[in-house]
Amino acid sequence: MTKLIGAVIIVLVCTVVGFQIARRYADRSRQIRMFVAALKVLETEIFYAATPLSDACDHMASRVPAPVGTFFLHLSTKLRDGRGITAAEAWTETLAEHRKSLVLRESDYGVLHNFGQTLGVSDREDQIKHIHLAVSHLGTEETQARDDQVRYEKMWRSLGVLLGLTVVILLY
Amino acid sequence: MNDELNAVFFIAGVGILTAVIHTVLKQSGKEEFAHWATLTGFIVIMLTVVSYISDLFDKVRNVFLSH
Repeated sequence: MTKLIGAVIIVLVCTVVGFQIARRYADRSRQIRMFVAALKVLETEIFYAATPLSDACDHMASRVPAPVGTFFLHLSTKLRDGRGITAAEAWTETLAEHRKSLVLRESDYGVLHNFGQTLGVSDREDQIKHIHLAVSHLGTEETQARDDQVRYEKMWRSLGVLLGLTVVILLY
Repeated sequence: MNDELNAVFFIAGVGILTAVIHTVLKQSGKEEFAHWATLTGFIVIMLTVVSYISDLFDKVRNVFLSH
């Protein structure tokens, strides 16, 4: 009886772990899409409204959901807190702090980091150009993320259950 | 009797699971991992089978060499 309960627990845990890994693939492409949406909002804010960057970050935070939204919320508080750091520094700091809550790859972080370096150092047209560049780079990353999602999401879902069953059979 | 039957089921289970894992990995384009998984399953089964075969040899030796 104890053996059976242990076997069930092992299978359940392996299944949950498999689903978690599978969810990271879906989360990655969703978070990239959120960043693209946020950058589009930023473009509007810069081009049509000429909002200060901290206010624009607040608007972006209210427009996109949780992990990416909190990123921009923290960015705006960093810009406001009066330490006198540049937008690029604030962006880099916030990005480093949010590595745990975001599930992006190194290449995605590279695109975002490069975009952050250009933030708030040039005139309006140049900012728009940089936003377009970042959006197109993120678009490439998103296509790749979707490819990975289609390929590996299903695989990890079934692999979790199967590995659990294998462990149970090996131990039984 | 029960022990031998358990061994048969064990080997069958590992075999089926290895086959399914191989198919899943191959369909998602990770053929190297698929082959490693198959090899691992094969080795696990081999280890159990080897212990049973050595058991058999021991019994044969006992039958012919015990005075």
